[in-house]
Amino acid sequence: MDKNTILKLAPLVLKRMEYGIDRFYLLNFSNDDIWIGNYASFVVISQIDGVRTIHQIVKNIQDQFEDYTCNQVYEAIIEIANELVKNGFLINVK
Amino acid sequence: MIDKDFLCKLFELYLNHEEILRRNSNKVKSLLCYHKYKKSLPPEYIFSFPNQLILKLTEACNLRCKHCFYAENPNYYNKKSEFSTSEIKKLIDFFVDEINVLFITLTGGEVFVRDDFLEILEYIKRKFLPVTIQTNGLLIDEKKAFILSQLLNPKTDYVQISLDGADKNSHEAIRGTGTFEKTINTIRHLKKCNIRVQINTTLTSVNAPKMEHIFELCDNLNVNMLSISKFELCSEQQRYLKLSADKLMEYSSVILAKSRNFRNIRMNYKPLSIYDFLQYTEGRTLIENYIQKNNLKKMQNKCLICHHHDKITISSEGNIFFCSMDESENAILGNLRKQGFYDIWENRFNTPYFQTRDMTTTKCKNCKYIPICNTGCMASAYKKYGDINCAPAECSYFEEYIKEQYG
Repeated sequence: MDKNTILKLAPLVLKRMEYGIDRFYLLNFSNDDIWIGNYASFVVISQIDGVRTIHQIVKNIQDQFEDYTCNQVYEAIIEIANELVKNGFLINVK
Repeated sequence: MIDKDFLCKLFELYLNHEEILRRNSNKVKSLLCYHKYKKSLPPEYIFSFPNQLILKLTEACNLRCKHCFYAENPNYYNKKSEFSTSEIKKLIDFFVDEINVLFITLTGGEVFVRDDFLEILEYIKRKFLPVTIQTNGLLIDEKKAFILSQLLNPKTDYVQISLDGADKNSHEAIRGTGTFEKTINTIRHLKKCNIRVQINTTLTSVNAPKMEHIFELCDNLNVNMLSISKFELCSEQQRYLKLSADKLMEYSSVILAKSRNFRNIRMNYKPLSIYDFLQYTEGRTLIENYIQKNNLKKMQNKCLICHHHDKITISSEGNIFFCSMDESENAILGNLRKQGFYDIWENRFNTPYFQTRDMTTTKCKNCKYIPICNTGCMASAYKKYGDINCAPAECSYFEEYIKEQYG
């Protein structure tokens, strides 16, 4: 996985952000697995659309959260994305 | 007068069926992630918003079934101010993206009467949401079945088809001439396209004598989900459809016994309940012995609210109901055309259905049968007594019990 990777949600994965308790859920109805993150992961995963590269997503997020450097955002995204690809919630488009 | 041995045998079949149902529900793992998700949430948070939405897309229907809730009011079926396509899409956006509902049931009237039904379905499926469609199936041809197969996922979605009898005469006596073959053909088209199908049937005096053959029919059609419901009397004209208590017992015995030969079919059998046994002195003795023998205790601190406030129904006119079993004026939480959802939801505790119903509030708390009945349907209780903390209308013991308790 690198800056040019394009990701999308796997089929039958449902996003659910529970703002009241700061938990972000991914429910995979294909294998009945769930993944729990927080609002930050929701921000990242909401940008994953099967069209934009990780580099474009990093730029977009960094524009919104100027306190973080591009590298910090990139590292955070890669860590989450790797975990979610490994567990079948995200799939590689390119 | 019912024979004691017969009642005893039927009670065994009933308990055995309950056991099969419990085992089946353990086998149904397709929505396991949903249960994992619910378990992971703080208890006070889970039901702060509904998780399931029943959306009535239209009141219009291509049939005039004899047993319909609305049969006495023919004007009901006229298209009223139902939501437009764009309004429904906005509703879906709101309930899926903001309220986070996890399941949608699409129902009517007849949903396929709407020309935009497939467009609405496609819009929902774009959000990966599990969907159930309730239909009489008459407007689904081979082409529509194929389109449905492209939209629905066999793991999470299914189509419920109403079939009111195992044979042409029974079905058409309720649903009208020429409907049986068409419905059967639709089921065949759907199965050919690998779509999960459930047959929904209502047990009436018309179809009960031959209802046992529905298992062979399901087997032939390769349908492995069957739901048999009790007929609810809504007008005097429908009285001939209602089975007497003894006849209900007789036919239930045949159906439950037959179901044991078709273990591949997951049957949800709702006509017979513990309240039917309570009508007989021998039935009460059987229940008491069963509770004693199995040392059943009433569950403490158990919330007795049906669906745990988890489900809402939206009518085609925009009324929100908590329970699809009661759509009377009193049961309306609010109307989405007049108020925003958040306002309606905030006000829910001022409505009769959003009251506490647990072991401390229920009027049945000292009833000796509570370990097995768990107080039953609250809509039925509300309709009869105007209080969700009473027993459901079907409980023949309740008034006797109230006299014993409160004089």
